[in-house]
Amino acid sequence: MIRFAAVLLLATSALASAEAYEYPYDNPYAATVLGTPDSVKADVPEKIPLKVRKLPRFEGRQIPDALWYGAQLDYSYAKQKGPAPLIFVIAGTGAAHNSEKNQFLMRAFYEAGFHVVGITSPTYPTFVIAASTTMVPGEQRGDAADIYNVMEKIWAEIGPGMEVTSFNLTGYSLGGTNAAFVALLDEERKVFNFRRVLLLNPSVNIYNSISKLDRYLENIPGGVDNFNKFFRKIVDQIGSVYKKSTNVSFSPDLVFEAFKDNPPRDEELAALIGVSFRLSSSALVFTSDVMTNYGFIKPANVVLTRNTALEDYAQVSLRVGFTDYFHEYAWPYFQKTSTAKTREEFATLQSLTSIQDYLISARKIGVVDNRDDIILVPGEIDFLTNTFDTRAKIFPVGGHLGNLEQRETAAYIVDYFK
Amino acid sequence: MKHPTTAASFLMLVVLFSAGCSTAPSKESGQPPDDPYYERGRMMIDDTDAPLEINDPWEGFNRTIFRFNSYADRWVLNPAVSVYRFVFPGFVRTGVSNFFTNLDNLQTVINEILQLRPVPALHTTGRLIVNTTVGIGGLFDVATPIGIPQHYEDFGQTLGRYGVSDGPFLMLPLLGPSFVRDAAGRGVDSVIFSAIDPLQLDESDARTYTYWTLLILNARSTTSFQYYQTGSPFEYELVRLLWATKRQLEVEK
Repeated sequence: MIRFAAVLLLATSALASAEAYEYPYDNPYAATVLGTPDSVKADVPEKIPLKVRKLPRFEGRQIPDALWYGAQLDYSYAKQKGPAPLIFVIAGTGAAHNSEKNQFLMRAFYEAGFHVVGITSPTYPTFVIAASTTMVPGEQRGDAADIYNVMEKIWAEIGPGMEVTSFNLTGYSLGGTNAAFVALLDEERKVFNFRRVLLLNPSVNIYNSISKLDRYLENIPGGVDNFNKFFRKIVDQIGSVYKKSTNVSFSPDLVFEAFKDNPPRDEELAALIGVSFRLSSSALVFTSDVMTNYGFIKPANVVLTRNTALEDYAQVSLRVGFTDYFHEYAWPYFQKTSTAKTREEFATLQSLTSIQDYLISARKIGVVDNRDDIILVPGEIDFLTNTFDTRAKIFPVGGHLGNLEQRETAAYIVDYFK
Repeated sequence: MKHPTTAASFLMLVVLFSAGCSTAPSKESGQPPDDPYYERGRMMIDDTDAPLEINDPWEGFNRTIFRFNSYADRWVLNPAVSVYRFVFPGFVRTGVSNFFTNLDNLQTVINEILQLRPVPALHTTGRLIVNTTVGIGGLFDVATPIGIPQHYEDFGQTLGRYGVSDGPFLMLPLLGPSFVRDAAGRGVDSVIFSAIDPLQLDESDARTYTYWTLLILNARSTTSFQYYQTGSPFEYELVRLLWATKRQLEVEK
């Protein structure tokens, strides 16, 4: 109810841009942050018999003490009783197999009769520790091979008890981009022979997306040095609502209530999006650095124990953006082995444009996106419609995945696999 | 072990003796640390005030408890909660949860009185009376539908309200994040509870065991936090920050 009220107030300027498609926010930042309000949400069961399992340890991998908890990669799955098609769902940047969006997709597919398997993003710290060959995520062909290996290992564990009629694949955000490269690899490896593949709000060119996401942080008033002030302001805003309210507990509803009283400006929403991605990137960058012992943030000759205070490293990691990671860490690492001669070439290889011919010819692959997706740059939606043609479904509004749980969106996604 | 304090201090001792507590990283023999590519001094102005900075002089100990709690969750509490959820249907668990929320209101009303806040104290008294009687000993929450608001106060908040600062951060075994002030507050709250003994636990061992078992199962099953699920190597720092923020808001409320 609180959510609904918040939505109504925030949506005062919303326009219905398409007749059949009901989504309240025409502001892509609000859409990205607030997601789908209950009133237009797809009717999907709250619970499915989802099981979480751990994969065996990565052979021969030494795990530093400070990262002890990440020795084994988790995955989740839910099995239908009889024969059914199976779908792998790859999570987005910094997200695990059971992220909220992955869970939503798994619930929707399970309800529609699929076996479902949730896969953690190669950018999630535990994947870096326990499943990445290079321990330096971001290089798409290598990440795809790692994901493929993970899928094979999962299949070896759960396959014997399952009757599968076909294998399918999807993923959201960076997971959508991953899915395209995994589908390409599957043409060669032919373990799964995917029947259908759907990319949900993929990053078209990863370098373009990370540049945009890094820049969102510039929306913090006074720049990153004033992050604390910005953080306190958000907390105060939430706090003022909390103090006034009689019945609200300290929960996500509180955030909606705070927005209702004092709708954030676009810049603040953009800054929030920047901060949330920076939390992911800081975890990824530091984890990768500790694993490779490159000396990027942690001095190479310092050995962290399980109890080492990490605050200083956290402060620095929060200052290092995705683009810093790309230029100063990933490119130097891959320079030796990549076919790319320059940094620009290397960046271009990490994009769907580099496999456009395949994407045009592979009739099984489709895409769902929004015209106002905030991780894309001008021209990239056109790239998607030109490449996928009738297999591209572009919604008018929804920001980056804000409309994932919306009725028409969810129905289109599930129907694509039928 | 009738009293929670006995169990808690026993655990504390076990943990203390099995804990290495230094937060210093170990270095290769005698050398100064190398310069990393990104070094703090170059990245940040010295006086930048950062939200992650929270008074935590016993960080090594706290991190050990943090890890201990994750093991306790993994090997004892989470499996126990699974059994609890399997055996008892949802409405029973809701009843148990309502019961403890109602019981907590005793502590809340005492602290509201200590904080000289008559209106919230009236609300809470109203809730206690309605839910204990019409709600059959607190199993049903009748007070919420008829519009009596639910508050939460503890002695840590009372101290905070009278200007006692939160003191150093402290991870408590099984109970999770806290501050010295709030941990002391918990002690006071539980002494008051034992003195009043509203359930007359002193008279029956069976009742005492049932009470503690349900209390623990309910507390764990209604808390959604799981250790090491953010994936972040800075999870301890994030938990500490969010907890400090939460407590600050609760005291100000």
